[in-house]
Amino acid sequence: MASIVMERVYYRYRGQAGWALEDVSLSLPWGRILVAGGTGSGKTTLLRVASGAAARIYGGVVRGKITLGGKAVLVPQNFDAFILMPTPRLELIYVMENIGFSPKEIDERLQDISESLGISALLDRRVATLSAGERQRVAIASALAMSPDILMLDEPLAYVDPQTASKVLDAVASLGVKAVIVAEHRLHILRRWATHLVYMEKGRVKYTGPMRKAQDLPLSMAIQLMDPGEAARVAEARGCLG
Amino acid sequence: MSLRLEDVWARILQGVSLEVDGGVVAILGPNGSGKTTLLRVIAGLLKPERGRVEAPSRVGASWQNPYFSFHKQSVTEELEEMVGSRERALDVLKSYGLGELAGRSPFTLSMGQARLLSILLAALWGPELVVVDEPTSGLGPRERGMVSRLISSLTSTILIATHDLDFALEVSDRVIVLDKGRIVLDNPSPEVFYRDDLYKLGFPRPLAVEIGRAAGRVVRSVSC
Repeated sequence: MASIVMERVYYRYRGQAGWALEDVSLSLPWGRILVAGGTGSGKTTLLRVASGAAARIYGGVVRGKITLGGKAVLVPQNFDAFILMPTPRLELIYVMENIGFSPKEIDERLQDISESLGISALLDRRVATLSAGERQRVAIASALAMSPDILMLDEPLAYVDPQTASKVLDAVASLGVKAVIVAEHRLHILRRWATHLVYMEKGRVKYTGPMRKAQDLPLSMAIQLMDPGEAARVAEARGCLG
Repeated sequence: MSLRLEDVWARILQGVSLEVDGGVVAILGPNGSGKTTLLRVIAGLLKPERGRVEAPSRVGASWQNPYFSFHKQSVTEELEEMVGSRERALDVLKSYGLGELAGRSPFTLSMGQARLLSILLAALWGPELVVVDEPTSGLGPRERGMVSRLISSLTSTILIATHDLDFALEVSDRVIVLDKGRIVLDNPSPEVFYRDDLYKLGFPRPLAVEIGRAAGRVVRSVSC
């Protein structure tokens, strides 16, 4: 059973002429999935459409068939829009109360989630006084409070520093999330983390499959997956080292 | 241009002393190390509790949220205000490959486009010093290349706060590392990226460094 299956999916934003996603078919396993591609390649749109956020928030036209293997939650790039309450503690409690957790469960989960994301010391600070990296982790915590099976993170490394990011990604797995899907273009940072790669260009999926078998990638991406010795030989031969 | 900080204490900053006379300076450090606070002090937005700050009078700034830089109806109007004329504004947009955005509202730009515009707005009115907070967050490879070209083309002194070591290695002349509000490393050369002490804080090695070590020379950028 796959975490997400998309069959011949097309998506067009409201008021836009062209397809933002075009003929996307893929089957993602449970596990750690990296969605790569340049700006405008459709990474963000893929996450929005797969999570159902596209039609709900942006309107537009969705065609094709999308099957989710569980509950999916997307933490968007503008994660500030994701946080509704004035402090992290109130945010997490609010989310869990809405889902219907008991007060005891809320206490336990609040502690687990905030400890794994390293935000325990921030729980009673006002969100507006937190740094961008801290707010991004609060947004991820808030998504985890919804107990998703599939967690989608759009550019989670944008503000969180890489060492914190790898802790966050490890923590997510320990909190019962069965598939983590991350959109990010710097492959080399996540090449050891991800087991599955989706590479996109111009709204189309160019490669979907195991990370180590990745093919048909442009050299700028492929070189990030090679071992350094091979990468050095290829890059020297092409004269692209500065 | 000269920037001088003497024993500055402000929020998390604990006695930062610093002199900058020019070039592109990267300020590295993990979340919460005081990078943004330092830039805010230098830009005059935050008064230190203790210590002395001598900064130039004309400081341009691009903050973490690029949309905070905007207040006009269109991208062209934003730039026009900074560069003086509509023609120059359009030229600038064209030369950075943003020509098609001219009539758009800046608030509808993608993160990457907004970031580029915000840096242009910070830099193009002739400030002596430009501070840029996390210039590469939310940017794709093409836009990263554009930002690094833009930064290399500027004549003003530039301070960049970032945890993106790949980018810092590519553009900076000098590296300052902050940890828990103190400067723990200050080095004027790209070789510092090839030394182990830079990675004690847990940063992963930039791709250029991994490849450079395998190639046996100092590589600062990989653009295949």
